[in-house]
Amino acid sequence: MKFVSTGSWPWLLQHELRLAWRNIGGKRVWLVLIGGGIIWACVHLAAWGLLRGERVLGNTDFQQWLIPAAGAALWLLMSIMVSQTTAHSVSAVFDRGDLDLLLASPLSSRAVFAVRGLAIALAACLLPFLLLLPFAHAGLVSGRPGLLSIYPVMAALALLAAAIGLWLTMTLVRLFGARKAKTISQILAALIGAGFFLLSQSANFLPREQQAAISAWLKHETQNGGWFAPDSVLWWPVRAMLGEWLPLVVVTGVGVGCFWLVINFTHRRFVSGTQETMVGGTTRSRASATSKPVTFRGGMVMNLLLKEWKLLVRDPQIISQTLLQILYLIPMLFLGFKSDRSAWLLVPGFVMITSMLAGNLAWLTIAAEDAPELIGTAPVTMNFVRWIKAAAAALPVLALLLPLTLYWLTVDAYAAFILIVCASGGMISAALCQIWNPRRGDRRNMKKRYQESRVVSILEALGSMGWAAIAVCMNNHWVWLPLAMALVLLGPGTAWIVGRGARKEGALA
Amino acid sequence: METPALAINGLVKYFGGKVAVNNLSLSIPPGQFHALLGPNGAGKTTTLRIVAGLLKADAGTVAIFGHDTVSETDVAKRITAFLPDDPMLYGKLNPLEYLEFVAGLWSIDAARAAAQAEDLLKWLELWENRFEYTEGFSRGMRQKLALAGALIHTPKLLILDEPLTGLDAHAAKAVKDMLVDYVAKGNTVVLTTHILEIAERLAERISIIQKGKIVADGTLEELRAKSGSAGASLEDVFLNLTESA
Repeated sequence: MKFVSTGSWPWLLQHELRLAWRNIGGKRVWLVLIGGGIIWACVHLAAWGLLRGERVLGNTDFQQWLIPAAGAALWLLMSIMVSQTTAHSVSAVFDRGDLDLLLASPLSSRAVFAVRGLAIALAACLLPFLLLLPFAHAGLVSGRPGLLSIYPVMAALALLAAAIGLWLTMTLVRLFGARKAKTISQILAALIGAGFFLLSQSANFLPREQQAAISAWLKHETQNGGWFAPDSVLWWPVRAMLGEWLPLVVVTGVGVGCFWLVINFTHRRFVSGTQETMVGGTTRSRASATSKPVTFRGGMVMNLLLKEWKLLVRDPQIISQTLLQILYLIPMLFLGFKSDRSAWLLVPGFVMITSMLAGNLAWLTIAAEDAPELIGTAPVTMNFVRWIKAAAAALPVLALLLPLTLYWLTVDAYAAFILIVCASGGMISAALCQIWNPRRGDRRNMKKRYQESRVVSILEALGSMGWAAIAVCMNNHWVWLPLAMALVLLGPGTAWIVGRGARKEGALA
Repeated sequence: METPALAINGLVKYFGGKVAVNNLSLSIPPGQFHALLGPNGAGKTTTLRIVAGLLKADAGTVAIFGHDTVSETDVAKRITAFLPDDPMLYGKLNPLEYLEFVAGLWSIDAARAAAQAEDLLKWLELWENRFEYTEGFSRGMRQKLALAGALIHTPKLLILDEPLTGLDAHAAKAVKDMLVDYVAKGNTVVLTTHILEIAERLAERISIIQKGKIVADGTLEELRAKSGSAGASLEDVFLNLTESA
């Protein structure tokens, strides 16, 4: 029996949801459901514990700081959702998939665009929904049915985030054309995602007097009548979640209205954008042309390194996807240059971020090799090639750390020593996980790398955590060193054991 | 006796318990144009990938000009080129950079490789596109560039898996002429193809693979005689032999 008529937008939405559902866990979907269900039940219990009785939400003093704090957290969540919807909007326009089939069918382009938009909204709000809905359910059993408003508010915020992401992408397509828009919107998505973090860290770059002035201003603005006071319009989404009817109507109306407007006014641009990407796919971009005679560089190692670096810097998609880690690194580097003898406190953070960055780059150079057959047939051992590729990934990250290491040498040589040893260790660990457990990846799908090779990702994380822990131990916490070293060995060691089969086959194929 | 350009002896390869190559033996002398034919899933590509060093055999040996591909991998690879059916290039490199990289992998002298690259790109009509990233290339252009990459280190044994797929008539003729010329210079070419007319016109000897085994091997006349269909086309001979095997 069919609940929706064939060819309608709900029918198309049903089709999209079925595909999304099958992508969640494949054959292990029941495992994902059971595991996720247990975690979700625990979140329900925690939410119920927090909301029990009138002690918490009914307390006026508590509300005085809860609403601005929850409101700020919600806007942070919103920025992450907008970052995600922008990235997903790029995929909706540029990753063609079944778009040719859909747009060639009698379905209206508006319906196709609307369903894509709904899918984007759903993908963006799934995790926030899972985190916040337990509060709605716990509110119901603890006498606060108003919290059920979390449902419409989160749906409205997701629609608003999808509307912003789609509008941003479509506007960029109109202004810059499909090719440039893709790059710009990917970089923009990363910047929006890191925006709140950078903003929160920006005060650290200012002199102490200005920091104090900002702090005083913030305190003043959280008083009644201020910008960030609990009754401010800024926090209406939180008030709407708590069940206040006016904020609820306004927030829901804004979310649904913006989505409707964007779908209705930009769906034609969506069609022209997708057509442009189809034509743009065969457009050839020229590398720097020169009429000089052809000259080649000799040497296998240099050619391998240069090839990897060229492929990294010329791909805006890769730049945008690694940009987030670099953006997180920049404020830390500033802090590093400002700090004195307490500099070592930053080392674990540097180790974690640089290992993650080097791990991502190593995955690109080693696992996501575009022409494995070419490399596999060359008169050079695969292992040697992988080591060179690992070096190609680690050297740029080391170059980022070098100025700070040199500066620290003049301030605190021991901290500089810990930094360079542990950061290099973390990078080598991450690279070893790729070298010892080689798995094919697709560089165009870097975001899916954690889904495709979960084991390698976990092992990489273990290695970098181990080196961060060693950095802590080297600052007079030697008693924990064996534990940290065990963690370091666990990552690459397990990669070596589980990757025996892949290494034995020899080639990257 | 002359050392064969390619000597395959008792080759076996399993994929998850299913046999893909079943005790396959084949000897190809230097300077021969040899075609490997077979239906889909017969084991042609698996055999070629083992020869090229991309897969490890479960049993059997492969020697290229007398050099075992397992114990003398480096020497064997240095004189061999393999062109897969769907060659992957680097989208963000231009043809010159691609060839520079390939020449680097084979440790070819930089000056010699640069001159060779210029000749190859001009001959394959890619010279005008030498500064364009390959991501915008058509299938035929990609195939031609991959062929240039395969030839830049002047291999003695050229292994091609469906080399004419995606090429227009003009480019296909150029490649066929080049392959004939390449063999005339004393080199060896082994190719798989589904276009039987190519094998019929170009190959001196033809091997037909079925279920991982060579079921027939010889010149076209010998194959006709074996299938009992004198004067028949290679297509009829091929269908006769593969259906009766």
